[in-house]
Amino acid sequence: MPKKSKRPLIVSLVCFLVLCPLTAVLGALFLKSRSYYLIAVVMIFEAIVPFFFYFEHRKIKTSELVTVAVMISLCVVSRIFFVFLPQVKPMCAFVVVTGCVFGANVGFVTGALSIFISNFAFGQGMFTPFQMLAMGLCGFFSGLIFYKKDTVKNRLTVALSGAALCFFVYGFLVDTCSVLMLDAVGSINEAVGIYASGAVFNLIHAVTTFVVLMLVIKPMNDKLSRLRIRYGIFAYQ
Amino acid sequence: MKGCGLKNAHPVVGFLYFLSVFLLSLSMSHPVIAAVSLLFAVFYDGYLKGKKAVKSIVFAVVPVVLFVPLINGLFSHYGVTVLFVMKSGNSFTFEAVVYGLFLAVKFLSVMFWLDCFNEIIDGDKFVYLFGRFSPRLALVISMTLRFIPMLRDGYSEIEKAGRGIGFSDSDKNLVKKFKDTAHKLSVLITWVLERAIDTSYSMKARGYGAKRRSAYSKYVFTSFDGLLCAVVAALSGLSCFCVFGLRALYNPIIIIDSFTLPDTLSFASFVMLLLLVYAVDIREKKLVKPFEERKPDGYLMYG
Repeated sequence: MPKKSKRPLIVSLVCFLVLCPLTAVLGALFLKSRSYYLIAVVMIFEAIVPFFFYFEHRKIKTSELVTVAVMISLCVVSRIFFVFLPQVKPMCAFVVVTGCVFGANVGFVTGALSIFISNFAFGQGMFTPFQMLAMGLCGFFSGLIFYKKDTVKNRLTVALSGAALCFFVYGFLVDTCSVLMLDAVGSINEAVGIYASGAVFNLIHAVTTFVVLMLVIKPMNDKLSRLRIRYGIFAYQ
Repeated sequence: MKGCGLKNAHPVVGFLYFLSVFLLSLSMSHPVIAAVSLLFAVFYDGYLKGKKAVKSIVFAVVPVVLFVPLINGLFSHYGVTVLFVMKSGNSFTFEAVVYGLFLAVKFLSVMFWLDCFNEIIDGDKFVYLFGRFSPRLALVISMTLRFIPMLRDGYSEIEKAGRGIGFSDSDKNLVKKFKDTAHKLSVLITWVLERAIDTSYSMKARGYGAKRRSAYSKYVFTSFDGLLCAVVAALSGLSCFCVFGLRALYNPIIIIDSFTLPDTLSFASFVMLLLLVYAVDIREKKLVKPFEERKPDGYLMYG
């Protein structure tokens, strides 16, 4: 067993404990209330870097790398497939599945990159960084909850927590983006209004995620577990 | 093709240009500067995309300009000029509406600049720009971009094979249709995962992971690209002065800074920054003449 590299740990500590607070303080001091959005985007960037840094430096097999690319392309295609129905995006469900079976870090990378790549088709917008972080966190948390656990076989649990992640994590972060863009931070009323108007869309998204997860978690888990057992892809150590 | 100047330039130039325009557009607080930025953004978007842009202009500008001031007026009640008092007892103020209008203009200008960014910088260029920082991630992105059309082709092949063994498209039964599609998608996913394993064997056989990966790139950084980078940096540096210096206050009364001489000069450099893309285009057009014009007199090209 080779010694684990400490660099990813150092990078994440520096990013989370030094850079993020520093950005917040410096932003508050120098930009004042001029652009909360800009400060938020810089902080999101600093929050995403550690995950990608770990992915870049962890030991990974070639076959695992290609599998990640395939999972991302499945997520992207699932979003493009339903482009004509607004908010009906099965993408979140596939990200959750990836997180469950392949672990938290792969879940994050899959989520963030699928948003990023599919936005080349949908158009990169001011939402992109927020969506990347939010979708990445959906994959990350589902990995934390279900990776290497038997509960992943319980369809209802996975689907419910997937829907909850979609509603609370993804919905909240993306609505926060609208709040910051419309500069509604000054008045609580306006912010609450924006969150409330977003809730309907988030609910549709969460219900979609729930339904799709109920349908796909069993077959997908079987397919991906087969890869793990037969080819040793993201095998449990 | 329009916009070729920036498209054919080195990706670093395009990225630097849009990065500085985004940052400037995001941090401005003077209404005149915001309006000018929006005007140029919409014009450049139309210039790049032609008729395609009209739809997005109409569907983005009209609702945002109508609704954001309205929402801001309904929820924020600062300001001294009360237009009318709402049923809830809160006042609907002129200042809140004007601030909403300013926010809408700022938001739209960033949105249209992003639209232009999408036209100039595509996935390939992005991978080229950031591949050196994270080669593994760049590899994953470019593999993903390859797998997406592969999934589409695979699905149509599976569909054909399915028709051969008796799944028919003309089935009116929705439940059966749904089941058939689910089955085909399941086949597709199994197929593409197997394909991933094959790809990885092939990569290993060609020596992936044996040594540091080198990357091929088709972009060449010319001296003109260097000049462009310097000009973009200089102009945006000068523009910072008016973008950060000129402020406007909307609460409780509207106070808008007026332009002094240095502000005007800095503002001129901002406008020059926004006009730069057209200059690059004109140069490109002069450089790459249409085929007929290049034909020397009295010389038959096709015998």
